[in-house]
Amino acid sequence: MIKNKKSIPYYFIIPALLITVLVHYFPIFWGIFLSFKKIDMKNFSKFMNAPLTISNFIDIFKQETYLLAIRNILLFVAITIPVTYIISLFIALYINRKFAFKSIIIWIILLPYITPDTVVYSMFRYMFTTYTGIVNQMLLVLRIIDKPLFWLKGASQIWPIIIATIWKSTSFGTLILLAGLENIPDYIYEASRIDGANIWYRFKYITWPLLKPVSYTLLLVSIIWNFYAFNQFYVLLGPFGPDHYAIVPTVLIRQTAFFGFNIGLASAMSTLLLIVVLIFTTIYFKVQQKQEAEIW
Amino acid sequence: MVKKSNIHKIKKILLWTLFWLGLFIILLFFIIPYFTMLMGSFKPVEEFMFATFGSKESPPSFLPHRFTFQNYAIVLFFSGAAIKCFVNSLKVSIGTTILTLSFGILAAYGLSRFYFKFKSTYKIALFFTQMVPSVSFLLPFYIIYYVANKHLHIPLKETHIGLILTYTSFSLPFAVLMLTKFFNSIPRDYDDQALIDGCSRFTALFKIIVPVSMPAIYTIGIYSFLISWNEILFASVLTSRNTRTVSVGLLELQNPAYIMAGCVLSAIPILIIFSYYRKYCISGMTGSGLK
Repeated sequence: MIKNKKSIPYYFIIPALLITVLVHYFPIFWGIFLSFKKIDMKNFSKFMNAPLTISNFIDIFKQETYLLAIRNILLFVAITIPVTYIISLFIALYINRKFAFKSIIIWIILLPYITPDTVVYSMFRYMFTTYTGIVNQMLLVLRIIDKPLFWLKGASQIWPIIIATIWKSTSFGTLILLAGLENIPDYIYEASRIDGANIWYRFKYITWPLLKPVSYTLLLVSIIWNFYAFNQFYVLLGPFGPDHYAIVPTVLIRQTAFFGFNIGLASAMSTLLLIVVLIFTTIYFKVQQKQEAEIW
Repeated sequence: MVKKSNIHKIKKILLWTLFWLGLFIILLFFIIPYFTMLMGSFKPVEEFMFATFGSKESPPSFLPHRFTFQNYAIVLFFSGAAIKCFVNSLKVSIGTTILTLSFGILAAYGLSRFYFKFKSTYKIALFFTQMVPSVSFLLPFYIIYYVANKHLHIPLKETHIGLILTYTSFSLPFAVLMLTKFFNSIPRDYDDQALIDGCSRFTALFKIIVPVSMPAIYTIGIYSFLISWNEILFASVLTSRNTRTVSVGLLELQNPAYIMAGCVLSAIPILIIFSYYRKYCISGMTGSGLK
């Protein structure tokens, strides 16, 4: 027992280490490797023989859909994140006080976050159906529109997705921001009240600066999250996916690989996405180190 | 004097009313979709299919014109697919949880109690894997499983084992990092005491450390359960008709009314877990951050 004491740590570590190598690092490098190969229907069974090329990466930019996908995801991120942030900040500020049934109300606010994605986005899918959906019905009753809109088809199909995403991520945003607000000590507010600061000055000079680390974390996490959003597109627009109005990189990768059966090209796309996400991740870590913000 | 205090009182009541009115609006924002889903699941199929605008008899509405439990009955008892999906999801989720916990506890104990070469490298490597978007794993896993099936005859593609492995890869990094953090906060005296009393390292871990760190283990367990219950992308690619999990299988029911009923049913276990273990759920889900 004493003899091989040195090897003991490795008994504990090795299973997880093996798994990490096997299911993380091997696939990552395998994916990068695949992106340098031309793999399609014809040579799928013996793709290892195919030569290494960079033609996949060139092909990506020849494709109009990829550029469209990038445009769509940028639009998606640029709308969902600020709107979600503003709504969650508002709600968090609103409920950051003592009142009856607070824990029940927070429970309700957290529901969308804990509800499975399939369920959340199915709800929205059937709220936005053209002839039987409640959204069209409400708009008709309020006389905002005079004939039912085709939400999930054509150019408007990204809007239900954006609305559903905002609804779902508001819940998480509120949770994080509320935790941040609760960490701001009361005596600072009391001191400012004695100094005669009004509500706007209290927000501007106390809440906002002290909430900054939490906000940074939240924003970067949501950017990374939304950058490879997939579930909402899959559930709201069906397994065969969106038209080019709402195609995004993740969906495009899946379509290219499994409907177009061009696995090499799809791998190249996911390698590019990986690079983009890693850039954001590096920023995230830099910011986190600087702010020493703890999210858990 | 009396008047002044009255004004104060009225002001207070007015503010109170305004506050609750605002809160009510916020809650409506969150509740309406759930309400639509619940009511939708009670609507008869025809109402879902043929409700039309302008018609007097059946315009689309929040409340069903005729309540029925038919959808639930069909989802639960007559379409075998839904039940199968539930069972599959349970298998996969429980498998993932067990695998994550067993590897996670061992690795975290090693990381927190021993010094060895490349310790910090390993930690950073784990951190890094949590940041990699899951879609970058999609094609590699698909091809690896395909090759394993075809050439090595290991059934990974379209089986539960393959799915469990995939989901373990999502939850393991967070599990190891969080458990390491928790184990670090447990004094080493506990282990020393156990070792002096003649325990081996393993029994010390499972008799002393694991019981103490139940909160963290709950968090990890719930987190990995939820991840595998909710995942869609991999489930849509790596499963066949017989191994569909709930998150994908639900969408394949024939009728929106059934889907709504299925959604209510599939949300129930998650909501029960959430209500009982809310604290652990929140710390798990906020900590996960990225996946």
